[in-house]
Amino acid sequence: MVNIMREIAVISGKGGTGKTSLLLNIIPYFDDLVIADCDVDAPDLHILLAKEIYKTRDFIGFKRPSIDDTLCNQCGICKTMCRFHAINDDYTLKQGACEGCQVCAYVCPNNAITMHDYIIGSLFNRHTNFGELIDARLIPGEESSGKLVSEVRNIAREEAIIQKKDTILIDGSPGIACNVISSITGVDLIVLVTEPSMSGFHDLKRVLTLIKIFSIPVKIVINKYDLSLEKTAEIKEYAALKGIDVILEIPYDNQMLASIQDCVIPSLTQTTFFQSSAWLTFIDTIKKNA
Amino acid sequence: MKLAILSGKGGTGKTMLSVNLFSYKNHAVLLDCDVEEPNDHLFIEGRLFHKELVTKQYPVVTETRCIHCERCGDFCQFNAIVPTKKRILVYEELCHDCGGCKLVCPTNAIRYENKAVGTITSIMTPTNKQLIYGTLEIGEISGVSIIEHVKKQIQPDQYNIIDCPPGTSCSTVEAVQGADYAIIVTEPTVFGKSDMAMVVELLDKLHIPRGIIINKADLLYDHIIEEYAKDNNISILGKIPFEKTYAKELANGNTLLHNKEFLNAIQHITTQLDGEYNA
Amino acid sequence: MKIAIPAQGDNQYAKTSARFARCSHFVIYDSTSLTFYAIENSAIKAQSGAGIEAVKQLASEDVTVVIAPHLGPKALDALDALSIKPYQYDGQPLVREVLYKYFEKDVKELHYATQTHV
Repeated sequence: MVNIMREIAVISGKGGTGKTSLLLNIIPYFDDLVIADCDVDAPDLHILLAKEIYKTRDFIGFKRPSIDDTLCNQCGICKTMCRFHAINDDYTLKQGACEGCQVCAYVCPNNAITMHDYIIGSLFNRHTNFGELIDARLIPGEESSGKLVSEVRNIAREEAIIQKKDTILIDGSPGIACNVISSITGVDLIVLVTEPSMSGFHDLKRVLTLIKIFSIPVKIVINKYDLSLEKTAEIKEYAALKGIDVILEIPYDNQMLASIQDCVIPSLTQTTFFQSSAWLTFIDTIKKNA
Repeated sequence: MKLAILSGKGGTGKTMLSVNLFSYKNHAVLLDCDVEEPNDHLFIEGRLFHKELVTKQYPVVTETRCIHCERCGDFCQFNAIVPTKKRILVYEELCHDCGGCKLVCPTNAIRYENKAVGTITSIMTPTNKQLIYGTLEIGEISGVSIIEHVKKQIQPDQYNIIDCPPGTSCSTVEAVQGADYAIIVTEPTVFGKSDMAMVVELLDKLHIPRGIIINKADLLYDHIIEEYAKDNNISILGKIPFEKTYAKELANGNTLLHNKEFLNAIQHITTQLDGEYNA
Repeated sequence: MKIAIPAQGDNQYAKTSARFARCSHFVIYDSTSLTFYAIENSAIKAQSGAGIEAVKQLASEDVTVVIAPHLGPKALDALDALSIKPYQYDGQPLVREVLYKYFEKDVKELHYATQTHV
């Protein structure tokens, strides 16, 4: 039996625009949910959502070389051929430089280099009141974060199939590179959260260009819109030009921040904004478009 | 002096601190290493004095020499070169430029061509201070090589401010490694604290001394960070209070030094910083 | 001949998928036996290069035709390299309905503009 599953990613381009908070506010409105925290450098959802971890998996990145001292004659060919300067003068590996290409193992004349699996992080399954949460932690300084993000999504999909859940909500990471790319490929809808600032607008344009490359439907949310009404208008004009809908504008709200600080989801306890037709229409729009 | 500014969580105020510190100092170099979403240049007035492309190489196959042994495809760890019966497919954005496919090709059918993956832009301010920023080409999977190039512009006898990307993975490592001191800009929230802890782990690995600045400080919540700092023996260099006026100015691309309270905060921070760094 | 259609389910009555490389299943119609069967798309798990992985799977099933609503240049390149003909349809039909469209010639043949390979 196969269930039709939809994936909705919430991303931002610029960090700090409120994507995680928005995602938290959206969560209670979906009944059959799996949540994927793809911000593996800085996973935050579990702080507000989860009970304990009930399953942990180690995550192997790419392979790393290991040099056998007994076979190595220090000819230095590996150092010369490594394009990432990942082998130090003392034949140890430089932190964070190795990209796992395996050229060193190939060129070593004495077969002194072997490649080994290397754990770069962990993946977690957690129960929450709203559905399963899959998140991961990359060991600080490690590479292959894009691969780890893909794995978070794979596990989320598996769980959605097993538990017969029809929606996966994805918390993406800031930026436009491999982490983000892995968060958005193949999703049904991207909710892009921005803020009305020079930085926010600049970054919005870049991330929209990325999204265009992948041809994924996108809707925009302007958070803290009253920070600058002029910039909000600028963003709306730009969005209209690009044929993208701005589906929600959220005012800056101290109360929302206070709720998060108290580890409570704002949309569960606050009524003013979250009972407004703007908010309810927004939820409806997301469900219809994914 | 190489001062790195980082945060873990995005949006805590790295750019705010970097551009204001840079503006405050009489002599400084600002290196914006957040190459996926560089913002520092939006706040700094100056003239463009240099721009260059950062390139990487990717394989091009001479089909007439190719004997379809598929060794290139078998070797590539990144699925950037994929042999098929008809021809060899190459996915340039996935290529890590390791040189492996050419090495293993028995008939020398592979050569490399250049592709731009980003740009490095240098701006000179009216007071002769330099801002250098890197911009990653959209669609490329990693900004690490761009960051490497930005950091080549570090001037050893100057006060170099390195604005780092958020997070703790390879881009941030590339930006922060080699720094003499790191300022962690955080916000007094549960998210800020959680993400800061990961940054501290990274700085421990790289053996870089650090101090904390609490941005968007709030009397009610600062304790979240202060307790963490105390437990982990990290100095708090200063606090910048949350002010809606600050947020509005920054939204418009302005620095904040004209604001008396803010200026005082920066002065206090730089004094603390000098004390910390010289200790 | 075998015709593959990206789908959201594992049978001919399933909804079609707009995402060629990352659909959950390919439903394959075998015109020799006049039957449908489905394969799970392993490319959905790929971090990158999902397009070529999807195409390779279809090639290993001896598929010679793919019909999808959207095929980007990379997918077309890969299909061409593996000698699979691409077609495009409009709307959101079910898998079975796409096949009718194909036989009624209500689909558009797509062409890949070959790069000059030396």
